Amino acid sequence: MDSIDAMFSDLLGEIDNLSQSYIPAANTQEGLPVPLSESIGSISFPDLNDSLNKLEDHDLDVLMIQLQSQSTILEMRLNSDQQTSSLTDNQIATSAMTQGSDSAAAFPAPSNAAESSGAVQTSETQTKTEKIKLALKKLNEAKVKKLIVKVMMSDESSKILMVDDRQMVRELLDTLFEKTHCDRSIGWSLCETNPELQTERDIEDHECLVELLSVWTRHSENKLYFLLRPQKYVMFTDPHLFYMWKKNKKYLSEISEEAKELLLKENFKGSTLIVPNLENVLYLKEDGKKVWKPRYFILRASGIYFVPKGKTKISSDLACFVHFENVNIYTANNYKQKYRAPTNFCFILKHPLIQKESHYIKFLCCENEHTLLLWVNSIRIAKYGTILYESYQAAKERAATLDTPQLNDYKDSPTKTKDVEDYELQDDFIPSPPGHTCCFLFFTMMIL
Amino acid sequence: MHVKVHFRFGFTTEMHWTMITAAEYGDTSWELSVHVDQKDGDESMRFKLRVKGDLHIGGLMLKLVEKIKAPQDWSDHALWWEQRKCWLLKTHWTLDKYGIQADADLRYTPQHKPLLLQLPNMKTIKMVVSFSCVVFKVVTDICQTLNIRRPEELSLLKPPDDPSKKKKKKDKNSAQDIWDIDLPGGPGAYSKTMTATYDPENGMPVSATSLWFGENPLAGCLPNLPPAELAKIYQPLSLVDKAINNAGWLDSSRSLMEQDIQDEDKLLLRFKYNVFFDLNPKYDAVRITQLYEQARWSILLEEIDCTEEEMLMFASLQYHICKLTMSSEPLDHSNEPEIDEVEAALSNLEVTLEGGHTDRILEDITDIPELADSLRLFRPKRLTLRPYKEYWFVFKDTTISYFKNKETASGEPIEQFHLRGCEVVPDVNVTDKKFGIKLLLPVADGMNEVYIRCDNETQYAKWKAACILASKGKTMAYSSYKSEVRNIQSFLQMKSLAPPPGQAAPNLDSMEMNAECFVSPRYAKKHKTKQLTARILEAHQNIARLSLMEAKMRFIQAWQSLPEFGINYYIVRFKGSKKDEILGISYNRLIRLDMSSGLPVTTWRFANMKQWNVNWEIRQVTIEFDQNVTIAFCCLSCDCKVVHEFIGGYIFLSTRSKDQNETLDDELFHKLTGGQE
Repeated sequence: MDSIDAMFSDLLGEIDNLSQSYIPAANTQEGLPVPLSESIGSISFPDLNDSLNKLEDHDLDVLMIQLQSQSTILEMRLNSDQQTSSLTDNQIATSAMTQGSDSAAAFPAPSNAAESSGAVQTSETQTKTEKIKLALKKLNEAKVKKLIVKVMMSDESSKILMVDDRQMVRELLDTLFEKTHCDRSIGWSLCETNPELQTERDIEDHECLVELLSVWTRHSENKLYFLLRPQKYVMFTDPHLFYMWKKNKKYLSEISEEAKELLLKENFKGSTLIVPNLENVLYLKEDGKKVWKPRYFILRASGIYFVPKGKTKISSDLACFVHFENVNIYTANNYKQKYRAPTNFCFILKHPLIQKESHYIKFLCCENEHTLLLWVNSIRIAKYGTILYESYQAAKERAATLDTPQLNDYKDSPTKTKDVEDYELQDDFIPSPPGHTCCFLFFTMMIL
Repeated sequence: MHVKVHFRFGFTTEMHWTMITAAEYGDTSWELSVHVDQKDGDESMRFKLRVKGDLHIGGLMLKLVEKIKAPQDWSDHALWWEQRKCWLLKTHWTLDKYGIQADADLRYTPQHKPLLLQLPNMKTIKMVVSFSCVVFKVVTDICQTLNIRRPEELSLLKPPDDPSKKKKKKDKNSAQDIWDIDLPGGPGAYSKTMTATYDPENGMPVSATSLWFGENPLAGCLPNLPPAELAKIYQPLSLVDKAINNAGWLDSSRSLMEQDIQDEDKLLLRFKYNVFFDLNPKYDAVRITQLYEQARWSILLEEIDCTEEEMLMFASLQYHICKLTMSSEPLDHSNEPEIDEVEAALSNLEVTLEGGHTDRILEDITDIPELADSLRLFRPKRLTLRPYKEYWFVFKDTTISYFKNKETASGEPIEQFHLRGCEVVPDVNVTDKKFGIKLLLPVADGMNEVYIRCDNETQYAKWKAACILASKGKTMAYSSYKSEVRNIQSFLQMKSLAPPPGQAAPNLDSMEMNAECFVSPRYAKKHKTKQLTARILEAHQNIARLSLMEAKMRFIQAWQSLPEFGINYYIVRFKGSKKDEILGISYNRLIRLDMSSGLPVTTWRFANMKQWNVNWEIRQVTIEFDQNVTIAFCCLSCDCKVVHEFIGGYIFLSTRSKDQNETLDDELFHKLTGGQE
């Protein structure tokens, strides 16, 4: 029960953080890393009652007590508001646990409630629009889904977080930074694992966690990890690996910072995003079969293509293998054993809703670890585009500005905070023109 | 003495002028022959003047005008030296300084002449431009007139001499197609009087172009050509063909006359450098449209290769843009959809509040339209051999339920499909009257495949629109539902398809629009129209909600992200090599390609370039890169100046930055691209 107590104290902390909003019903059953979500209003969640029933009575009691005081106040507040009384009733009726819609903006604090309702009566015309706005706000809030989430740390300890469906992963990382006192380097990331498929995926900073978790099945063994992934933004820290992948290793290892910066400018800061023109042989697991067949794959902005048998690499001959709109990319563990893959450097492409083995999943295997790195991250570039670059810049900024020393108890490495933004060419660097004889360009300085 | 007057049409008359004796001028004087072009251009005269070497050009012109005696504004005229192919614009220079002697054949001619200019949208306009300014300046002026920002990205391309196309020119039917832009204020005045002003609301230029065109056709897209017309223009292009088509870029640092361009010659105005700085829908209505047009033509004529999927995506965007441009009531999806929804709910709520039925608010707001109909269903997984079977379908929220029949609809449904996150694929064949919707419903252990068959177009449009919204988690209460239905209906009514009886296809009918005109002729040949329509329809649903400007931008961006985008090809001979090879020049690199296979051999990035130089005597370009890599080549398909200018031009473009003011640093441009003199 210790762990449950710990979870509840975490939960309480969360409630404090979000004191202006209601706490929806939550399931904190041990062993289920992501407790059940609940929803209000028109969005129904069929699994709710089931899962609630599975909670031990004791857990429920504690949770109820914690939530009790909050909900009574809120109930009163809501009932005082004519327009939404029916809504509130509905919500309360929907589940065994009390819940409500957020009325934060309308009633910043309980004491203000009386005042604002007083004001309502004074001026008729003004209040009507206000009422409308208020009611709408409540309606919107009512749709907000919230989840209590257990996030595993690399040492298998865990933290409890409350997330609502307006929050992006980036905001959750901020919360986790505070909770864990870790350094805030750009590599920290939330990672979802699927034990059944033996896959994992680093969730992108701009994604919405609630949406993502609501597709997990009821008895899912899936877990969420908070991990340091040094290569999370490798396509921006080492763009040459992706945009000059054909060059030899020696050349790549000697590349200058200026050259990297130029690559970033060319590929991410121009009028359109450029996807690395990756192409090589990958092994494809044929639908439903055990065999992995080599095929020549080509990455383009519009999807992954392969060269059909007896055809050439010219564009009009290519066959489309997959588009990125409806699939996510996951890296796979130990597929040599599980699926007899040629190597252990595999990745899969699947619709996020698919949680079990299916012939709708595309299984691919790379020759080596480096090729896997190239494909996984290039596909991320193709799928997410500029938003990924924005996330990277935001992460870098955060690493630089929020780097307060008192929080870094066990900070191991100083974060890189190179200021690479908007380094523009200065006039001094402009070379003399090509003349009749010769012209010299200090090119490394030229195009920055 | 006798003075010959030449008329352009070949006959010559002799006239008597006042006799001037050689003695009046002393021994150093000599006779200079000057050919005078009248402003109208229909006749020209030749005069002989007795001059001395210390006479300056200004004085010569004064003399000449006095002699012509015709009352006319000669201010735009200047002297042109035929043999040397140069303008004598420095009026304070003497004849001696220019090196002009008695054998010189001078021409007194207007500096501004009409030019037939084919815009990126393949429309030809007639425009009076300066034949004496350097081309760089001419392009800047043209762009200012047309309201295209960033003129440094464009240039003039001389079309290759194609003997097969010369015949076509003679039938002269293209003459009617030319828009004549006659500039107010006469030649030379426009660059001062025309300042681009933009309508603050839609970013359209208000003064300049709309002045001449009324509603500015340059910012609007032209309808696609009928497939037969398109097929006439189309020809498969090898790398060598591309090299030949690209050879004619004019030298930016010389004037049109100096490059043998005659008045009324046809030149192509094109985006030359493939970096488009700061494309902004606010100010760039014309620029974006023309760029879109250039992109569109390069796809349709396969000047750039793409995959089938990409071709279909481009086709669907073209269809969408075409439709939005042509439709009399433009569909405006540019509003934020979320705001739409809230606002709809707001007005809904307002009505309710005014009516005083406060207890019913919730119901009213959440009153989501439903669909209920008898449709046919097919589940390939379960009943592989069973055909489609009729059920009673109800579409509510984002869920489809089906029942045995209408009467049992109040009970438990046989099955429910939750459409959130699903894929909706059209399964349509209009000529066969097949209106199917294929749903791919992702579930934990794979995908559920469901086929639903509608009876007719209207039913299909309603259900399909609802499915598309539901797949995105939206209900039919969403504001765009109606326009989505309309979109689907109008798509099915493309001209090549039989319009439903009694329902004439709206104004789209006049467009000669059908699926084949949105893809390259080679691709159209490969696929049946039916297939093509269905596949464009499928691609269209991804982009159906874009606004006109968004769609154009999407097209341009997709074009830019094609792997072969922005490469200009030239035939070269590398130093030490015995065979011709292809050199590709892109905005950031040079690529050496094998001529027969078309495959890249080596790539050099500009970033690693230390210096480059041109030996103008042997017309050889030498480039030195880091790590002591040096390459040298001669250009076979074009003048080496073209390649030199490309390299310098791209370096110039890379120096631009956003916080710079908008003034164009033409001095730097010429520094980087010039250098022959």
